[in-house]
Amino acid sequence: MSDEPIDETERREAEALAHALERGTAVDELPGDALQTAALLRYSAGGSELRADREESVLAEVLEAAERIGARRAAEPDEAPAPWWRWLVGLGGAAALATLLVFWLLGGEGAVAPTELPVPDPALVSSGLRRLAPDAEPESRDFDVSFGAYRDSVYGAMTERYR
Amino acid sequence: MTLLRTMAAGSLALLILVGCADGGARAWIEASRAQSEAAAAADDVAQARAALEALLALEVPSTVAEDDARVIRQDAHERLGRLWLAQGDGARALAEVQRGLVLGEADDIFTANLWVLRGRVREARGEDSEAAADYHRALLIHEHLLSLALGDER
Repeated sequence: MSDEPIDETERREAEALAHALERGTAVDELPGDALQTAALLRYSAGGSELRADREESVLAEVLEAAERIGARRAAEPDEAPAPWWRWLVGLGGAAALATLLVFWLLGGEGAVAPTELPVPDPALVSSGLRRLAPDAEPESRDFDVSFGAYRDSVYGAMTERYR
Repeated sequence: MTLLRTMAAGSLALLILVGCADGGARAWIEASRAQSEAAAAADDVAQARAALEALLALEVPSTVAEDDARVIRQDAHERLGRLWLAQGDGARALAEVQRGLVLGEADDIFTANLWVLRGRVREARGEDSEAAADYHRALLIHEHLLSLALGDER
């Protein structure tokens, strides 16, 4: 212990140590035990340069800060409940996944396989060819009747296809 | 547990959606068929045209194959075009042909019918060489179909 007034360097070191342990968030993040240990170690390392009364003062200051931080930690709940919006995010994700699955299952328009059309009857094709003859009538009753039956079979195939 | 419940509900919704989608395709086919048959059984041209226009107004569900929709709609456009041509309206007949061909072309009788109708319209207009080209396209498709039909019988 000495009665000499503390010089500027000593004062800055003491303040830096005390403030560093008390103020910063990084310090607050330390566990209480580790904080106290660090405070003591840091105090010991620089202690020889301080006056005895300042040593006592700084030590008391840093230990008080460590205890205050430890008490605050102890008062905090162990595990906060999940915020409500997390459930919304989860549900939204599930809905998006389901939508993607629907599109994947249904595919685009081009991805749907077309119905295999029935092969036209030779009589239908023949009557179709006859209407192309130069002297053919514009309307062919034979073709219309045959084609009506073929149209029915096409609708039948499609109804079966999309059953 | 909550995640499992969410996934179960999602799966159920998925099944319902898929079920509705397939039902939509079948409903469209059945409604189109009903209008097609109504047009064939119509007493006059106006009724037939109304039925075919109603068919074409039906929205095609995305679950219907593009080529299936083409077949159904090309048939309706061709029949509408023939009705217009029979009434002497070549322009509207040609417009129906164009609407049908925009849907796509295939080596089937539905596309062939559109070529034949376009040939008829052009022939009526005195555009003989253009009409001959259209008839030739129809002829090639018929030859293909005939070989298919005969090959299918053997």
